[in-house]
Amino acid sequence: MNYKVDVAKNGEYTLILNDIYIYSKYNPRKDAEKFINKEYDNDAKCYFLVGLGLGYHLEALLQMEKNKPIIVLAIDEQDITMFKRYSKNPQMMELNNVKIILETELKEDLNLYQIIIPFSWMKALGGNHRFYNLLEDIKIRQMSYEAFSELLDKNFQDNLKNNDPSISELKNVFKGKLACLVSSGPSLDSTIELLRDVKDRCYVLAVGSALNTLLKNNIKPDAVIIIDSQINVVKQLKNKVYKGLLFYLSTSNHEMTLVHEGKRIIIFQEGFNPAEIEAKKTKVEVLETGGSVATTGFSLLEYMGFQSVVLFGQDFGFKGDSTHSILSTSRKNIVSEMPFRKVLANNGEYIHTTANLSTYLRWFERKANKTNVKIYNSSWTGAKINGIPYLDEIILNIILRNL
Amino acid sequence: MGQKYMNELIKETINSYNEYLMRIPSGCQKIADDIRQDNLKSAFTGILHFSEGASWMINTNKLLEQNSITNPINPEKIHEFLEEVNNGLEIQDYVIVADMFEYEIKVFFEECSLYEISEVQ
Repeated sequence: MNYKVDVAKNGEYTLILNDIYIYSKYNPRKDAEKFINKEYDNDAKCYFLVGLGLGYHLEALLQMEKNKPIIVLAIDEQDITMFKRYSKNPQMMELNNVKIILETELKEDLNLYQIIIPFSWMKALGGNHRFYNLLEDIKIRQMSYEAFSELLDKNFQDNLKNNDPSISELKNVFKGKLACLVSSGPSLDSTIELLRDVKDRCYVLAVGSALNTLLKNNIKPDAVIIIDSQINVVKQLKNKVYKGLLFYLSTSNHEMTLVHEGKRIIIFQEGFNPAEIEAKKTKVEVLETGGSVATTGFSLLEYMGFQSVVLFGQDFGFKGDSTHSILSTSRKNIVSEMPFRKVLANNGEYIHTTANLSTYLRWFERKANKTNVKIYNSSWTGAKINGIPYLDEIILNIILRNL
Repeated sequence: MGQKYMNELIKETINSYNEYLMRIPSGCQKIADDIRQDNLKSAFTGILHFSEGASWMINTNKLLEQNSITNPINPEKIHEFLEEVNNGLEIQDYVIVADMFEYEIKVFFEECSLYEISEVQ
């Protein structure tokens, strides 16, 4: 870690970590306040702030919140040293409600805290730092919720009026069976024949963006799942011959639910407060979404009791800019807030991936460790998922025979 | 093309230029605020619009000058800003980018002068 303190244009100290500015070089205190003002959630019971630095974020948080517990994660011993030496208010660390900790002392359940991660700290730590993946997973979730929170709330309220049944009726109904979870990654184009061969012997759950590819290849899925909150997701169902079962998240785009002419089932998700309240009220279980439609799809299949799940078109990456299967309704040029990084594919090559896709990949890796469902990955050109073996046509047929 | 029509076109262009110039400072502030509040998608869209708008201003300024209507805006400085913004984005030092928009680019455009419509005969 390379810490460097500089004097900002207004005379205050500012901090540069690994050549990245943590605070403004003009008005460090004021700009840190702006960030905290926007992040601060009055309803939170306690706060977990990442990065101590020169204490500007902590100072701003203390202005908003004088009594509730605040834990500050110092990046290392030097972070604490810099704070003591350059902060104008080093006495903040002595306050009763403030606790400065290092990673090794981290024992708290973070779910109880509002986690505040200044983006500059994440960038300065860099992708190889041991905290980075954890911080990135949290930050992406937060940014995605913040970007669409109004829309999510509106969709939720409107979707409740659909009065659709919940997933309860499907709990463990498919015990011992095999499901194919079909996503729309580029590899779907090369595994579509395999899917066609096995489709009648298993349950096919397709994510909305893969529906077009399946229909064009005369494959009718048993169900489609859609979680997207934005209006453009309507095109995944509009003017399609598909009239089968639709699973949708409670915050999915409401117009899309109206366009669908077949049966609909609503899913309430963990981590979205109104959905958790509604689920509790109606005695329905909530599902873990993991942030993407495929991760939600897997949670659903797990809930439905499947013994094995084969992932199709689940690439977590792409070559060049081909993000989706050729016929997918989501094919596009990728634009990311965080740069492309490389990830090892099942075929031994390296492919491009994005911060979001990395988050979903890590979700599947964690899931593979704790679920009883046997998961296989049919994507040869997609990213290797630790704990989820690659499966080809021969192995898939053996599995189907043995079920 | 008649002189009258040409004058109308120039007036319209000057109006658009002036209107755009007046909106730039608040746009710069919004980009900086978006970055500081982690609304990166919105900030990047704003930066894209800004870079297109700035290029349009430079071209318009040049074309008006060819019609003897002068109002120097220092295009080199604008290119320098865009380059620095690009560098900041490349190394993902978004604090630098926010600083640029709030404390340099915004100030620069606040000091640029509007065209006088009366300059057009």
